[in-house]
Amino acid sequence: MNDLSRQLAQQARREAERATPAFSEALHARIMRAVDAADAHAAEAEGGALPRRRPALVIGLRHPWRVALAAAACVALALSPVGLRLLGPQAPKVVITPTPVHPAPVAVMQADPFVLNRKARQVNDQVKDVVETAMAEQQWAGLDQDVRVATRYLVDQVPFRAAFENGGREH
Amino acid sequence: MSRSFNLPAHAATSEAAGAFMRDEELAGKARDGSRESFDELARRFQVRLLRFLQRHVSAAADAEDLLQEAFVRAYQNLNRYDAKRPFATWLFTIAHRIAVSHHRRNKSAAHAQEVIADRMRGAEYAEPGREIADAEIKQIFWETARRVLSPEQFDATWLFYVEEMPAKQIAEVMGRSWVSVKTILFRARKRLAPGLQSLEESEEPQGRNVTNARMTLARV
Repeated sequence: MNDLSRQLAQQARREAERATPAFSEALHARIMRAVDAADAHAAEAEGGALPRRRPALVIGLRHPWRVALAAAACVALALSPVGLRLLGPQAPKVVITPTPVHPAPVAVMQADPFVLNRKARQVNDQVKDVVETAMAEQQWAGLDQDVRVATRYLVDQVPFRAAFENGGREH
Repeated sequence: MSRSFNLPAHAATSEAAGAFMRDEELAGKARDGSRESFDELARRFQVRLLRFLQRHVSAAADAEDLLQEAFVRAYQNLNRYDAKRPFATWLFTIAHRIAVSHHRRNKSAAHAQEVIADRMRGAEYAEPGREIADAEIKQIFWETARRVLSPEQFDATWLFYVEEMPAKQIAEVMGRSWVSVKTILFRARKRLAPGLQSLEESEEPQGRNVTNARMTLARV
């Protein structure tokens, strides 16, 4: 420090010390009352159950920039394609659709023709069996032939594409 | 870097009670929940902080209010204090911010300067309640500093000369870079130096040291 600086320093210190106030016990008591009041208020705000002082590591506010950086990283991840894929389209969508009354005809119309054919034959057989069984049980004498014809006719009326295409011929 | 300072009167109690702990140690204990440690810190720093804050306000009551606010805020934020850093720097940082906020809220700077200058001449703070003749205690240096320096230059000058803080700590207190503080101090000295032509020190018959400064204040 050169002479001028030293001179300034001495003058500054001298004057400051001369104007220094004396220590005040009353002022100190007032300050500590304010500190206690602030402490009590903070404890009340926390519900009273938590200790006012927590270790610095737990609070983790000594380096707020780290918290900000972590938050920014989370936001970036959420908005990134990976994040969107995880959070987005896989989520099940709630779609309200009317309950189909007759779902079978739609399925039948859209089915493969060969499969449809097979299905039609199966249904034909099933209906025929049921009717013939019923006839046998009823012992309709002399009427079984007529019944068979009638049954065949009835079955043929069912709007299966294959039956229609076959012109009502037996399988 | 801890500044050595004269122990206030109450320090005798601390010494009698046991070890005289460093400010940083006390702050660490206060951070862990020791109210007595904070009480001791408040005692140690009351005068220094009040003296610093008085330079920013026009009324003694305002300075005491700011002092109280500074200690309350320090207590509430002890969890953020790093014991590896000087406690004085940390505390003065809080006080400086409070003073700046207060100054912004009360922007009648011209009026405040006049009032401060009057108070400094009357040396009301030296011994409250006692009238002191203008000739006995002069605040020529600080009166001049208040008039010719910016608030920033004034604070840096105070912290450097009175609190004996190095530029690096002043930078921390004021939230500036170390280089910026060096520049601020340099410019402050340049503005103050032309006003100081000679200093004479003489003693009064009663043995009191009085500085009779013969200055030709260059109006800047």
